[in-house]
Amino acid sequence: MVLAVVLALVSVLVAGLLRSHAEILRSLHGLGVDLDPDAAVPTLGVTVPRPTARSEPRVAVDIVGITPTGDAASITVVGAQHSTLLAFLTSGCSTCVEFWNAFSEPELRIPGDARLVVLTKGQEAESPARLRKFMPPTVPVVMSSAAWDAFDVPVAPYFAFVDGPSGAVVGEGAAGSWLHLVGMMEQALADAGMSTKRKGRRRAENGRAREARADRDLLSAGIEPGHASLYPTTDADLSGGS
Amino acid sequence: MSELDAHALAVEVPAGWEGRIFRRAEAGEARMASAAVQMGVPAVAGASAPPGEKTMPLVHLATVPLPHDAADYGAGIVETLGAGDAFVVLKEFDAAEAGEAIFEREGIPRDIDPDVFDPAALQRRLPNQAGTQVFFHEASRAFCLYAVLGDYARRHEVVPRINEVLATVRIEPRVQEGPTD
Repeated sequence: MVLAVVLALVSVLVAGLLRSHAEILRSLHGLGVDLDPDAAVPTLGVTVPRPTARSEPRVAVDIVGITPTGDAASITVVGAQHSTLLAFLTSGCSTCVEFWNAFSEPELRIPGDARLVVLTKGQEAESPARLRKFMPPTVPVVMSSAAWDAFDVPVAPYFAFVDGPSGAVVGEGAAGSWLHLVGMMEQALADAGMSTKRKGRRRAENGRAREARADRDLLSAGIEPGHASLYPTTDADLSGGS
Repeated sequence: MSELDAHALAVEVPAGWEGRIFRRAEAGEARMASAAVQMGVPAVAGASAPPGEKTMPLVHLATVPLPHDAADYGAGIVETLGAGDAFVVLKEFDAAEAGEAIFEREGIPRDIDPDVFDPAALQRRLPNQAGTQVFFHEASRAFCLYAVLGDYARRHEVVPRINEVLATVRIEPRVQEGPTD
């Protein structure tokens, strides 16, 4: 008897919830929002701007500007034999910090074996002093508001992947993390029929680093300071002959 | 064509060329990013100078990508030159040396004879390559112009392109620059 009463109450409650849910759906539908996952085309009563597909790929431009250290640089993007990943960053956005840090990684791998170039806005909109704190050791950083305009950069961080020989932008968009960006790039490269292979970026070595590496290599070959082979006296010594 | 202008030097960089006008960091100079300091590599293009060495502006121009860590005379660049490629460096020396005999020539060469290029005139000899080096002074500044061809056999084709770039170089009297920070 008690069980029957409880069952009846639950049934009434469930029926009420279903009615309420239906009324909510009808109200949303009236507002132009269809939450039905089986609906053929989701409709939105509020118009949200969506990216429009370009009939033709955007054509990139070469990069020219100053650096945060007061130097000047021009970088070939269009017509280059390699692809280029352009990273539009600022010194102020918190999301950009992850990319500044990622780009400082010596073993950073870029999909498509692309050359990485960081672009910030020009001096009128950026702080060179702040940028110098973020500058990756081996990645060029160019300050150019003109480049931001040329690529219609809507937000930072923003990225554009350029196929060198054609100069076409084969992929572009915003990303929240390096992993997210890598996924986007690999997808864009695959869509464009380009290789997604990732090679390690050659780490820059300054004179001291080169010297240290040479020392290590010599030591591993058993050539220590003062070794006779370091002081050739005859042509045979130079040619390695006996 | 894009114009580079820094350190009282300017040049028009044609399409297909890369260029940069830069000065290496002096020892202890705050031109390096914190990450660069941790890694012991320079954020400024090229290696930083040894303690006590005063660094001067450099211009690198090439028909190949300019790596961030190239040496003054192009080690790191010349190895990548193809047959139709060229590399040009304009290296400044201390203005106090502008009156020295080695810098006696006045004005940057703008019409280099292709036949002055010589495979023996390379900082580092590489197969098929040839180079030339000219010291001069201009605007009370002392310079060395050094150019490398990817292929000596194509000097009559490539040197005119170098001359076109040299024709656009401007050298202004240099105002003493302070530290970047």
